[in-house]
Amino acid sequence: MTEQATANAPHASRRTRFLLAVFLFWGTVVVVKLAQLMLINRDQYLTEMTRRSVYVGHIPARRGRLLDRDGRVLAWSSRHLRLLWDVPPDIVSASRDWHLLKTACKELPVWSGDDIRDRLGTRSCVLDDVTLRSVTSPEQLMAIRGVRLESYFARHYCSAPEVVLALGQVTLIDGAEVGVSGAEKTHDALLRGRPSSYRVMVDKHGEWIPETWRKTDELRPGFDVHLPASYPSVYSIPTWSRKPSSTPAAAAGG
Amino acid sequence: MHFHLNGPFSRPKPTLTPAGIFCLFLSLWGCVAIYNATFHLSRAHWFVGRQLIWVALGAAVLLFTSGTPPRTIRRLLPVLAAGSYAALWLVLAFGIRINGMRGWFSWQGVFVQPSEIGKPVFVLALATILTREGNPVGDWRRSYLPALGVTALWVLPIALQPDFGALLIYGIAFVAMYWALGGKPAHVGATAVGLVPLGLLVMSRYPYVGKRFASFLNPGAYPDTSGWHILQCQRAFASGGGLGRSFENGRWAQAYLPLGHSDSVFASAAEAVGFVGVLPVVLLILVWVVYGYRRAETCDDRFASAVIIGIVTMLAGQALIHLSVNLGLFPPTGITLPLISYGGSSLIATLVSVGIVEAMARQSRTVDSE
Repeated sequence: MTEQATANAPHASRRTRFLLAVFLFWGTVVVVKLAQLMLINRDQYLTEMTRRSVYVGHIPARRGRLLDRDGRVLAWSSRHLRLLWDVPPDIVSASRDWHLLKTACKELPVWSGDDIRDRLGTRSCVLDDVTLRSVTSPEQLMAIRGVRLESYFARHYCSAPEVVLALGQVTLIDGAEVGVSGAEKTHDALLRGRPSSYRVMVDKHGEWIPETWRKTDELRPGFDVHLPASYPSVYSIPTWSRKPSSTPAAAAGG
Repeated sequence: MHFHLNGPFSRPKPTLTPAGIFCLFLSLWGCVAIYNATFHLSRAHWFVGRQLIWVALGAAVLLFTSGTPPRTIRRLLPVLAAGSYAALWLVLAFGIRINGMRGWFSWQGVFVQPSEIGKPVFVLALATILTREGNPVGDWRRSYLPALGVTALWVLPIALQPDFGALLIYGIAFVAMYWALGGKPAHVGATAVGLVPLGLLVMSRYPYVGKRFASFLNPGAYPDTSGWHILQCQRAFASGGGLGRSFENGRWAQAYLPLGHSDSVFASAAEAVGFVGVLPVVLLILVWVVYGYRRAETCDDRFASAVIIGIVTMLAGQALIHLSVNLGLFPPTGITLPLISYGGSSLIATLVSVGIVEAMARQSRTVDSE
């Protein structure tokens, strides 16, 4: 070693060891913090993360049918699709997506360019009772940015007024049909079924991350209930009401 | 292995040391981490593809630098320093602005960051000043002020970009080198006190700096603005847990973590590999410090010793600041993790630095054996 280096070596050695001690301390702090985040307080963070990022949804079960003693259907539910569309803010993208939607769905309303322009930037624009074309899968439809599909049920009754009164009515609570009067209320526990549940992570824009979708509860449809009576007069009426009576007002109107 | 210093510009002899091999492996692991953070993007292979090219280029640079005689490095220093310093100013005029910082030259899709490239050159320049013959380091007039002046001049264009993360790294290197070579703590302390008004001025001129400090102290109070980055990093760590979610399954990092391939690469990798996977990273940083300082202590040349201390401290400090920022132990600042984060300038500068350390350390062994 050179003379100068020899003279400085012990001093430098002491000081580099001090620097080394600083780094060792710093590294220890980092490891402790890592352990705190990843092991010790992990559950606390995960709970917070779940609250902020996980969307828990329910798929309502189809409500069971009401039948008379002879097996004739008096009330039944049908599933419908509702399309929710976040309309892009620019007319070019919105027109393109609208064209894609019309290709994928039947019986969409006829919108002119001005109709689309009026809705630019609208979040969750609702299109009820959408029917997909036979060649379209829900996945294909949802590949269009900002489009979501929701299913909902509508309750239908035979059109005889005296029977409808006896059957009662349902209302929608969280997408599920719940009996509020008559036979619908009496047999609600059997008719209602059990909804399916799912969890999906949403990104910072609130969009679903499809790969994270998981079903958490299996769906069980409601049971059919046979009422202890026969209503032959019902079948003297040739047509069935097609009007959904899922709300009390609608049912009363029917 | 003998190394002959037979002239001012001895020919470099490509050399690959165990440390160099290890760094290249770490760079490849970094490519995996970058892919993990970016595979869900529309151009899944874009980032990792470019990084692999940089790794290949960096390997060549490492081979070349490791085999370059220290005397040659010293002879080339004026040219290197002039070039690096000119680049730091030129980028202010001709560089492009990214995230509010004018710090990159861009040409045909290739980005070069002079403040990264300049790091090893700065250490070499500072070591030259601090180890000049007849200038004891403790003398504030003959040693401290010139070193401080060079540092201030060097970081001035970086402050104007403004790149406060790089500024911090340069400052750490300066303090460590001055201290290790026998400098007086009072000098550093007085300078630090003198920098307080400057810091306040910076905070008044750049309000986001103050906001970052505030969010660092209480990130939960700013969950959607300045505290967002800290919170998402912490949640990515928590998501990883003990064993991690495996590569490509780090959903939190993909959905929420900003800059998961560069400034937050440690957090995104932690979600994938878990506590057991990132613990070795921390240990490796400490092993690097022990290895480097041992090399510096056994070095017979004061200049070489200063360079090794400067580079080792700079790289380890940068790595630990990156980890600390990701963990919420340090206010957010855009600092990459050497060898792991995406970025060609950072990777090349790091491999050049490792090469210089190996070259400097090898010289002392060669002289000893001779």
